[in-house]
Amino acid sequence: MSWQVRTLLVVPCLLLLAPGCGRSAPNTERGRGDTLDQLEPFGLAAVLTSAFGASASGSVELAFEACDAAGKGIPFALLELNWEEGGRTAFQTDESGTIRMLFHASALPGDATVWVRILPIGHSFIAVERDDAWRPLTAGRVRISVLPGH
Amino acid sequence: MPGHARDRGAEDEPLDLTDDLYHRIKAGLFQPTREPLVLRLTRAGEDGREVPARGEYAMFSRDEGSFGVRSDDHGAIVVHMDMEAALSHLSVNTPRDRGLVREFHEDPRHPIR
Repeated sequence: MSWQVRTLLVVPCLLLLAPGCGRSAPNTERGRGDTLDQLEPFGLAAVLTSAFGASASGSVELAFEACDAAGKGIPFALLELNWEEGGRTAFQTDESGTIRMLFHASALPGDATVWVRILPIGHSFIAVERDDAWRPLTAGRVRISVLPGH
Repeated sequence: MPGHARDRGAEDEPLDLTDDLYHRIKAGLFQPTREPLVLRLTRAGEDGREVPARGEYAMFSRDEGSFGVRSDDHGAIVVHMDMEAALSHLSVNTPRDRGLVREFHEDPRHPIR
């Protein structure tokens, strides 16, 4: 299934998250303020469609915060994007567990499944390959905040 | 060489990571499945010395489109890739007129953690 088709199927679920719509999709929750909490791996294209739908700007900035079960930010977590066309990239969060990304409506990057991976504190890239050491986030969430674009 | 930084590309010129990394990967000097690529954005400070460019965006472009990633308080963007991504001609650019320099830090011990 192409990402465009999948986006069309997922967007109505995300629109239910708009204020006043009353209920959330089972793997999402409303966070604090204008945030959206993802409890499971999620599609980037659907999040972008929702974010651009609520913005008059041609670009949006998304802050992704990796949180543990208690809602506390996880320092130096890795936000992994598993691209539909192939390949995986992961970007390290800062000390607060947050990484910010910018998207332009005129050049969206295609779809990816997004989730968080964790490397043990003190992991040595010399001693152990990353793929043998990192683990997906469990019992946590990714909190997404939509910020005004540039 | 641990800790050594390589400056790459003119300010407004997209840098193709695959072109830059291919021979280093083939030579075993960079192993995408084992270690991250650490990009640090800097600019000239008042005294002419380079200082970290915090909160600046680097744009990553793929065939399908692009996205930006914001540098942390150390001016760093740490990206992990699998081999497919490392060979996918992902390119990195910085906005014009920001005076940013891209440095790639070669340190398998990872200077962030």
